[in-house]
Amino acid sequence: MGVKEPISIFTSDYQTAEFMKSMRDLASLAGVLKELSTEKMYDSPIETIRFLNVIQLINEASLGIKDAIDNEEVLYYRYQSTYPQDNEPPTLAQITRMLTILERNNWIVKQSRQIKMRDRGKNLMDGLIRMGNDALAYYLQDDIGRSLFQARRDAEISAAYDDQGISGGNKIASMIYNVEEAIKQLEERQLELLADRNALPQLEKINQLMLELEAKLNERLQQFGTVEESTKMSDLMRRGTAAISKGTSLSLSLLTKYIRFVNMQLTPTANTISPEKVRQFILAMHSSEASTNIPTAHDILSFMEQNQYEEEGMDGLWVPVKFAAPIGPQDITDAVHYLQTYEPKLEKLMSHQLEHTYEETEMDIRPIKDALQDASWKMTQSLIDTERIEHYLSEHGETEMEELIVESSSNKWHDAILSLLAVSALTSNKKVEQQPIEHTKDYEKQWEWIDDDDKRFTVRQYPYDDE
Amino acid sequence: MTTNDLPFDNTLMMMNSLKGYLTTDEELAFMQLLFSSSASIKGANYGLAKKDLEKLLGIKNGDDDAFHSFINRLNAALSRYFRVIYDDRRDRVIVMMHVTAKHAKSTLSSEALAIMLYLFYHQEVLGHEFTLLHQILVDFGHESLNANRKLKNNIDQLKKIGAVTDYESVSEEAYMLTAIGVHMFSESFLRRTTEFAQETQLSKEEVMKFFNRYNLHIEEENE
Repeated sequence: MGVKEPISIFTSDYQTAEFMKSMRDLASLAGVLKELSTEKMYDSPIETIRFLNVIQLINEASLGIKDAIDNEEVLYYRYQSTYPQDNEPPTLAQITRMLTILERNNWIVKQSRQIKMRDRGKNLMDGLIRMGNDALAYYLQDDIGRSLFQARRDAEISAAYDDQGISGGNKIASMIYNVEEAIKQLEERQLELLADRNALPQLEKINQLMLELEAKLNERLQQFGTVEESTKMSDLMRRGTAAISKGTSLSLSLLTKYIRFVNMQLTPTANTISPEKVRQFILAMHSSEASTNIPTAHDILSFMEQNQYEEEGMDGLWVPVKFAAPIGPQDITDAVHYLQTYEPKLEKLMSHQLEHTYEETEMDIRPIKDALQDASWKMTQSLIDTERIEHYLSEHGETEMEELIVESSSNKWHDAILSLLAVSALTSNKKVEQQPIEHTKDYEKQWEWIDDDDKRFTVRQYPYDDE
Repeated sequence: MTTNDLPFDNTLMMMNSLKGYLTTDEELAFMQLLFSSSASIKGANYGLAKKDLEKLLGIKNGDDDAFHSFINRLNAALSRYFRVIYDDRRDRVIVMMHVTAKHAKSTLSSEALAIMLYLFYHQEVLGHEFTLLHQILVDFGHESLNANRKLKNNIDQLKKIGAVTDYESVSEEAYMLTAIGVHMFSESFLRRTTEFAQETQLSKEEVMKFFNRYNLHIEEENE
């Protein structure tokens, strides 16, 4: 019989009724699991097992191991007689509630005479109980053993499923992964194992598991060798073989080193030392291979940790003293100061831009006043156009007011207003001065002075204003 | 290398009893010695020169008896935790510390320890003054380039803690144990190693005799 592609949900047609049903089964399982994941259940694992106990009772009844269950009350009393170790068996109300959950998820049917298990319930209960048992077996192992247990489990599941034409998931890959994990642990803890005086059973167990796994893995891989080869599979096979051979030699070497050590205690004390043997041993321990029974220097120190000879564990090595240099409070203060005031160095360009040069200049209060006046004049100038007036004055010198206003611009009244504004601005900023005169000329213009006396002034620039 | 995990409570209690063994000047000298043995301050140059220590102790005209008496009394008081040694090849007085088997594993790599054992055997048991790098390479069967580099890295570890020093008087590269190197291996370690090599139990005395260590303390006194 040739090996066919196993049945797998991942490669099956989504539209078939079977596929739909199988997915609905999972949803139904999720419904029950949801009840199991409530806070109350999580905080008190005992609640979980009570629920599973009830499921188990229904399961047994449906398998015909026990009498059929007529109603909730029968279940309630059967629980108490079956699980005497439970000090707080669920009340009738709680059992009724559990049954409601199961009924809602289509695991059971409550009929008038009997509580009956449905097929879906049977399948899923099996799965659930198996899951619990698997987890228990896993946690019963110690930490190196767990990965190895899981690896063996993978091999078993692979045998139980893949060989029957149903995919067990990527079990071979999972198995190899678990073996690799276990070997990593073993490598890290080998010194610790050697230092433990009672590690022999543990080492034997690990070694035994490794040997078993090696056989199993080879057997599995051979079977897969006949399936049309994908690159993924051959890659896995290589990885698996490497991991297993490494693990086996590692566990074997640990075991033989340990046995060598234990055997040594049984020999009588000798009086002669063969120098050549010492020399050979030292050479061998430098580059000891993975599978030898020659301990490395660290292994020997680990064995010494067992403290079999008096005070051997204390007597490790002598090394030159190394004290840390004391750190004084001043050093700490300096360091804190450094950290607090630390400024990263910036690029040269940046620091150039940021640099300001300040000049120290002394001046008395008058120039400052002038400077301020100057500034305010500049501002006035920007608001009022004084240029025409200034220009006219610098050309004609002292001029009558009306002459200035009309000649500098025009005889229109709006120009006159602007000019007057400019004159007043110039006057207030001490750019020009006005002097009263008796007689003035008349100019033709479109406006009149309100008070004619206002025009009896001459305007001229301050002599020191040389602009 | 960590030597920080020693049972310091006990160590310090022993320190208290030092008063009975040492004069105040000697106590001060010991404290100087401890401080100057600190690797983090002096790099590889551990310890004090004999002359400096003599100055601290107020010993005049190279009175060797007084010098060794100081070292012996210190060793008698502290022997379980500390050991003061005089490295006459480098003219250094150094304090060494006892490290438990558990913590010793973090001081040097397995390979470095094996090389150290090899040098130790070669020089202390066979009585050679130095060991040629070439010979180490040949004996360990490491003649490829990479193995060569790895071996030298490990020897550098040993040099760093001052256990091994270059031997200058020959043209080839060669190494010599310092006093630190000579004292590095504990008796228990040597015993276990030799037992493994012989695959039989051995008495400590036998092992010590094999490594020429049996009369160690007497020798020191006679120096």
